[in-house]
Amino acid sequence: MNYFPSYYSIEDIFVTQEKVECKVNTRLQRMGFLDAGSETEDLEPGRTINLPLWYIKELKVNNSYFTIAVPEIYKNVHKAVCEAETTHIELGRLHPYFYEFGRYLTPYDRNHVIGRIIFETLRQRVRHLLDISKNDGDQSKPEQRLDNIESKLHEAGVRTNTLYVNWLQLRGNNICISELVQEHQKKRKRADRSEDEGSGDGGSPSSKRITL
Amino acid sequence: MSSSNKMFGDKAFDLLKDLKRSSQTIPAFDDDGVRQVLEEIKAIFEENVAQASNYNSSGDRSLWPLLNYRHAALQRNKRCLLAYLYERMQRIKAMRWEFGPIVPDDIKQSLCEPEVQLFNNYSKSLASYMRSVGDGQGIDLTSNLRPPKSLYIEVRCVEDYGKFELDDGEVVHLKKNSQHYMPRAQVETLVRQGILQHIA
Amino acid sequence: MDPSIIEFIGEKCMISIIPNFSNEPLHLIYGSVGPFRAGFPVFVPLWLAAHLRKQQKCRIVPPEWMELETLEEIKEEEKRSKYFTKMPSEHYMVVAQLVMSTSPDDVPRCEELRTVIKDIFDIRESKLRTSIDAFIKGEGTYAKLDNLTLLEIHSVRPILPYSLDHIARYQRMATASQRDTSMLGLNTTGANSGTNSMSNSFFTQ
Repeated sequence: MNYFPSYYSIEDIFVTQEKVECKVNTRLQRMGFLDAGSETEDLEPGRTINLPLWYIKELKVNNSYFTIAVPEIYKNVHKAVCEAETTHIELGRLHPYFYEFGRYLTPYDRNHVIGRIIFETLRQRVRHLLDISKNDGDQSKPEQRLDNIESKLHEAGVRTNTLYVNWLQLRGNNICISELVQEHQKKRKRADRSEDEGSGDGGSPSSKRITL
Repeated sequence: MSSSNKMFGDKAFDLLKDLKRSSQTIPAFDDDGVRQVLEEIKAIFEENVAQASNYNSSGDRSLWPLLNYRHAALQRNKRCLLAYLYERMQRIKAMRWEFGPIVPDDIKQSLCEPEVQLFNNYSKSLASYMRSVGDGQGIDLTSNLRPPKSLYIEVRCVEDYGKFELDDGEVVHLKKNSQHYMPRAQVETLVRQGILQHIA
Repeated sequence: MDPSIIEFIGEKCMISIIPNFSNEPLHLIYGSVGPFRAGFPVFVPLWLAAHLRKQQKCRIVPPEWMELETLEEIKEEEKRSKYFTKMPSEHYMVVAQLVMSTSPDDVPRCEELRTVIKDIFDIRESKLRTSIDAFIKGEGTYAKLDNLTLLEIHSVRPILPYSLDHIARYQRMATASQRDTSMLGLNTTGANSGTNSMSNSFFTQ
């Protein structure tokens, strides 16, 4: 939940897997394979291609090979940010990694608005996050409304609130089933069920069965 | 180069997708996937070495962008691979705390050999550490995760477990839906493992 | 922190009981309690009070503030005040919850009290959210948490510190990218003053 991405951070690897639209500025020898729409061996200037963020972020901001196009989504929320109306935006629908993707793109934005936009958006939405995590139940998953960072925060808030409600109902000191065990039980039940319905090859190695 | 329709690094990323989908439990170790990523890394490296030495002799910089790209791809693969192993290691360690020293067979089967060893060694280290603390008496750090309120608790049996012997020698028969009043310290593990349910 | 741990901390509060037995003082790790004389009030830690009460060995004397009029006043004061008022006990929720759940018969008008105390907590909690919001949107660099109790502080943990971490990261990023432009030579003379004016926001170290 706490998010200072390290080298091993799976979340950060997911963010850097996102594709960014780039315009090719100069002929790049034998890099034609990056352009799905062309058959040439070289990558030709003027073409527009999508490149993964993990490559882009290794390039200098003012590199001579590519010009990075800033996604429209950030421009689109600009107005809402100015009017402090961001709580209604379905951020998860705009982009699953709205903030982190934006953070990576900030240096490439010539107008210098993205950095400001993600900062202001979160600043405006924290209150809303606090409120909904207080009111949402244990099971609700507001995937559309929230981006990845926000859902993690929301999860933390819901967890705190559940613990508090349990405590008020005098269940705070009860020993609970371990979460991992519970998840494993569910998974086993699902596997058993699909085996009952399914192909009848009960002899398949269970190591395969675990992958969902 | 012809096989590059799928982007460099995509296979390595798939490893992590699999891991993320399974939330906290551990999917089967993807031997094949790991091997393919290692092969990709090797192939990229060899191509880069060949072209870099070509540059050294000719001084031709025109392939630099390609070299750069492939180097980034190589680093990317390495990062995904290490993150895959690292995340699995974290989950394996967490299992020791959640399941105890013995993990269910189906989970054990999804580990690779070095991971099984990791689990056993970690389990041993933890056990010897817990024995060493607490003035020579030892403390079970995996118990009393919440402050206990009373010595005895009321539990309901969720599944047929069979005979369970208490420290004082009394044998309790744990049958599904039966209810018992038992010492908290001795049944905590069974509750954590979902065999008993704490009701009061 | 899990509320059960906050409760554990709060259980150290002393409370008065009237035992129905007599006994020598008990020598516990952190000090002695007693002696106990049947019918005479004695101060004991809350956890011991609850334990003895469950075994019907005593009656709990509710603390002075656990009384309807006092609590109604506190509630009104809390509503009126812009700031958090001082609670009669640092663990008022824990004490109330423990006393009322173990010995509802020892507390007059128990149900009404329960409601008022819950009201007070809710008022304070929503005040906390409002002031957090004002703090985050404002330009403050720190916030005073005077008079907040442990349980209340933990009602916004860890979500609040995590959120602040993110906001700080994005602010740093936004600031850094704007500083870079001033470095690009748009205003070579005023570059420094330009960056300084950016840093008066609320997360400067």
